[in-house]
Amino acid sequence: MKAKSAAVAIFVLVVIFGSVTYTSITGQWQTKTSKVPTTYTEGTTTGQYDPADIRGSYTLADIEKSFGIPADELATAFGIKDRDNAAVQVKEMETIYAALAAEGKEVGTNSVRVFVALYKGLPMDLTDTTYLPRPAVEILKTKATLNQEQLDFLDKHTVDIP
Amino acid sequence: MTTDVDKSKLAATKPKKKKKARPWYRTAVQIFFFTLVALITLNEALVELGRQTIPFLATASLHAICPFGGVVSIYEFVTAGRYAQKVHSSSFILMWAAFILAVGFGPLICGWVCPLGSFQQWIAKLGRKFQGKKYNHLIPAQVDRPLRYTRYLVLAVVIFFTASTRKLVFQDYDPYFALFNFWSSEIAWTALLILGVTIVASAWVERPWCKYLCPYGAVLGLFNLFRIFRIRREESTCINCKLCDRNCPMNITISTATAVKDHQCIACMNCTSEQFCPVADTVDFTTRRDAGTMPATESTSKEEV
Repeated sequence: MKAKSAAVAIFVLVVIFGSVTYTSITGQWQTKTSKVPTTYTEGTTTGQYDPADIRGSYTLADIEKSFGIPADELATAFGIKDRDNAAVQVKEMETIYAALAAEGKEVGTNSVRVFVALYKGLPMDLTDTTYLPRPAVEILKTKATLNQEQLDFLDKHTVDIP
Repeated sequence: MTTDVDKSKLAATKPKKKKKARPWYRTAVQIFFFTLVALITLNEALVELGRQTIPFLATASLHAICPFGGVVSIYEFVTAGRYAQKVHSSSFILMWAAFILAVGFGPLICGWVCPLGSFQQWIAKLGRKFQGKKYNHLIPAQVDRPLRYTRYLVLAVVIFFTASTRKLVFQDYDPYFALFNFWSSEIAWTALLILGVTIVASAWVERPWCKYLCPYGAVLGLFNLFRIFRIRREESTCINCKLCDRNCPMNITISTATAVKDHQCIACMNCTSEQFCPVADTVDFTTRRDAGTMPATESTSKEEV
């Protein structure tokens, strides 16, 4: 069988737009996050929302809705002032703390994930490059139940708000 | 003895060679996807600025409509049931669509759809205009051939770091993302630098990013080893003019092969009798079933490139 360029062009368009149309109808086509994190599928936390799935596009209100941490408390933890706290997006942390990223101390989406996980006592990998602002660490030490390893991590990964 | 005047008379009476009309389907598809991606990106920017969006057009980030996002998310999806940062189900769906195309015809995404590939190709037109036959033959073959495998190294590094960090690490080096988001604060200087180098290099080498560094091209290139339709050359009618070789953007030698299996082929069909090959039914995009008309040596590996 021989394929001419006209047939190939049609095949390209049919496969791409056919896939998009079919998955749109079945509800699988998503170009934006649903703002609802995935849940743990094993262990004692099965069924609970996984903070590791928090995306940069989530607002503090989305986190409040899924994890029950007030948006105002999240804003205080991450040094956000004079804003509509509920509407602040997680990815904005990367801009606010851009100067620290240059020093290899990243305060961004992963910091929010770590904060939420520790606050709620949920499992989370603690990575060496992730830092938390001092107010966030203070809130965690006051409100969360932390083990020694987590306390050591926080002591070594605290930064002052620029 | 023929004088100069006779020669000019002969030339004048000789019928002018009619230029072969080449199909424009691929160019149309390339322009369509380039425009579509540009408009979708613009729409997303308008949403972020709180402005009126373009009606009847989707709003989506470039990550959401890039099939490579699906590829780098495979590990995360299999191990944790979610996608890498900034990647959504749409990327996964497009990844499968691209695989379907590739099983049939090879990397059609590279040759027909990818806006960065098309962009480099359009710059190549300028390169060819100024450099003629020297264009795209700058790097000696013995250096060029091993360099073509660099993109597999890039692929391995990108997949490893995306899997270990869950972040879209490639974004900071991705010239495709830089091309459509150069105004955005999301863009890293490294991505802009790589885009700049790609644009400049395209004036000497056709599709330099695709040839040497594109990790997605590396993935799709593997399908060239077993795709259903492939480029096949009919030896009995070939006049050995080498127009197929000269017009291959990826510098594949088609003129000595009977079937092209090169991992760099982008299925652009430039070499076919429909495009630059001057002899009908000599270089075609066919299935093996048609091989009855091909020479018996077609299946020998040394004649497959």
